[in-house]
Amino acid sequence: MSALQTRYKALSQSSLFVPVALAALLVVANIVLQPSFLRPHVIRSNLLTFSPLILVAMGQAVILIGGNLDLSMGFGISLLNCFIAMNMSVVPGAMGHNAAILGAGLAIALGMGAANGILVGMLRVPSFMATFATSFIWLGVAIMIAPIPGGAVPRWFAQFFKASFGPANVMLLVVVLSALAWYVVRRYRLGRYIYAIGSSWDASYANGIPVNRITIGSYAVGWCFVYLGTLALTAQTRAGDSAIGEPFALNSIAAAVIGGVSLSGGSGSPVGAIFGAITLSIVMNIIYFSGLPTSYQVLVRGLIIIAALGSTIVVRSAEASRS
Amino acid sequence: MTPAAPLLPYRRHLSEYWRDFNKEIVSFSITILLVVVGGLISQGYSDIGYMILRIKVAAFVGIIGLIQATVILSGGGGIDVSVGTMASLGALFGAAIMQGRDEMLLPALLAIAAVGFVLGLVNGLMITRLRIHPLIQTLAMSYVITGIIVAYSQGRKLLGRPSPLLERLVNDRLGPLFIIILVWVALVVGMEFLLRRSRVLRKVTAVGTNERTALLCGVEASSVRTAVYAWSGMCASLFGALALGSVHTVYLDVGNQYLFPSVVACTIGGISLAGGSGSYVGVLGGALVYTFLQSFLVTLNIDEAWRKVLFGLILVAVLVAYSRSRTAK
Repeated sequence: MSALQTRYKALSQSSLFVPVALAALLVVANIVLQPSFLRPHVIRSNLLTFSPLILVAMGQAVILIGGNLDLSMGFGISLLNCFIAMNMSVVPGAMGHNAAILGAGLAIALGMGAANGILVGMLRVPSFMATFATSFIWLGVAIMIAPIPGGAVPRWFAQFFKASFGPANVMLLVVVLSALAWYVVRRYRLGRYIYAIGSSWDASYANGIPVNRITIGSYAVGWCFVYLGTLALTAQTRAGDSAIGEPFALNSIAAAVIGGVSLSGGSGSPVGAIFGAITLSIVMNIIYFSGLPTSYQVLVRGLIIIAALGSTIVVRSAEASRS
Repeated sequence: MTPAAPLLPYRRHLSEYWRDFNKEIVSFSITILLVVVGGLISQGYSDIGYMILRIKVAAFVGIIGLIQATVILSGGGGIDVSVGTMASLGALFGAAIMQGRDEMLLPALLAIAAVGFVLGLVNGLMITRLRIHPLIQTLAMSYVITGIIVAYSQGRKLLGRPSPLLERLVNDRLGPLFIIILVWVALVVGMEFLLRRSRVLRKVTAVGTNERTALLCGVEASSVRTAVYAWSGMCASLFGALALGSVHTVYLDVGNQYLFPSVVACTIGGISLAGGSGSYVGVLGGALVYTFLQSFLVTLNIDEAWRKVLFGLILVAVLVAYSRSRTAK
């Protein structure tokens, strides 16, 4: 068992090696292009901008590790964003009301995750089609809540995510605590079983792992991260918009893949996805600062995502054939 | 390869027809039911002239559904979600080349077919060689295409018009029916025939049914699928020309609206998402159901957001029903 554990540890460390190195390389590149990158306020504002994608990519990673994927995260974020922004009260004394809204938001997020999980885990609909279908439901509901962009969140809500306790920025704390939370989950049955069903569904089933419940569990855990990501996003935009979440569906998958999470399931970790999301965000940053005309930025961003998806898979298969 | 020996002739039992065609029968029955119920609710709904207009709308959904169906039939989780933006790209480039002149129609079609083919080939190679999930790859491709469109248009006012011949093909009638409806039916019949009789489409379903068996028969899955995605890109781009013919002035996302219906038409029409099984006639039924249901909901004054939710729920229900029916697998 201990030999297995050390081997497993070595493997998980090597799966983090590429994403961390890549992220470090891009940080250096960004410092060269934008010397103010290391100033505290720039770091803080970057953390704030990156954090929604970081958190959503962590959630996507959990679901990918379980051998599925979730395309409905994008419009799910739209729905949550609209719900929070349209229902929170900006009246100073409405703490109880706002707490209830935030609680309801978490319940909605878990509900969307559970719905996807039941479709995929219990009703055996292929995850890509199930979540493609549910994404339109989330979008429709988001448009019902906010037909036009609007709403507002209280000042303290926006301030909270920007606050710092000494050197520790709240956003940094949220990301670090999420990562720690994942390490806790992974030590328990749920975490281990998510890896198990992702690497071999048949073997897990044959060994009596409750595959249905674990799949639903992986979606529930994933959507907790999505909820945190939406809070971070809403704190920045301070309004509800049904179109806001769309890019997250693909970006979160790309970030997780760059972070060493395999699309076929069973390997990688949400912590890798953090570095994948940082890498992707910095690339977008560099495009933004490069002075490229805005009309070409969409194209370059798309090409980079395709290149990232392709290259990481090439690198991984080269590694696999070497060992 | 020697031609396959013809099957022994024998009388088919009625239940076998039901077994083979239940999804087609169900989708056509739903359409008729919608017409009857719609007619009871609103006088105009089952008016014959209005119905032909609706079938014209269904023709567009049905034609792009044929493309999507072929991709899904090739299996391996195959789906092409870049068909919508690909059609927009085709429409945009088509309009720019045609500039309302008939003599530029053919060059325009060739050019957009080439562009679509190349982009589709990239999809195919990424999916088969690098093993990226088809949905993720084609989604990423649709972002790239949106990027191309944004870069090309640069926020200018878009110039270019469809050629008059193309507009007439889409909007003129032959007798009581629109030409496009006849084109649609001809395409469905032709492709259904090819699906059952030609070597090319048999290879697609063979690969979709079972990759290993296909390989043992000398049909390699990855090359067939690469070809299917390239073909899909080309056809979706050409479909953009048809969409262009139906709108007189081109706009940036003219084709995007066809992505969701193309998938719905296939799933309602009984194309198995596992690949390999389904028929183009079923997709025709699926396109009819989608279009008639859409206009039925409009008749009931149900707004866009609710329609999105309802179609999402219907898609989920169909997916669940079909995945239940193949639990024996």
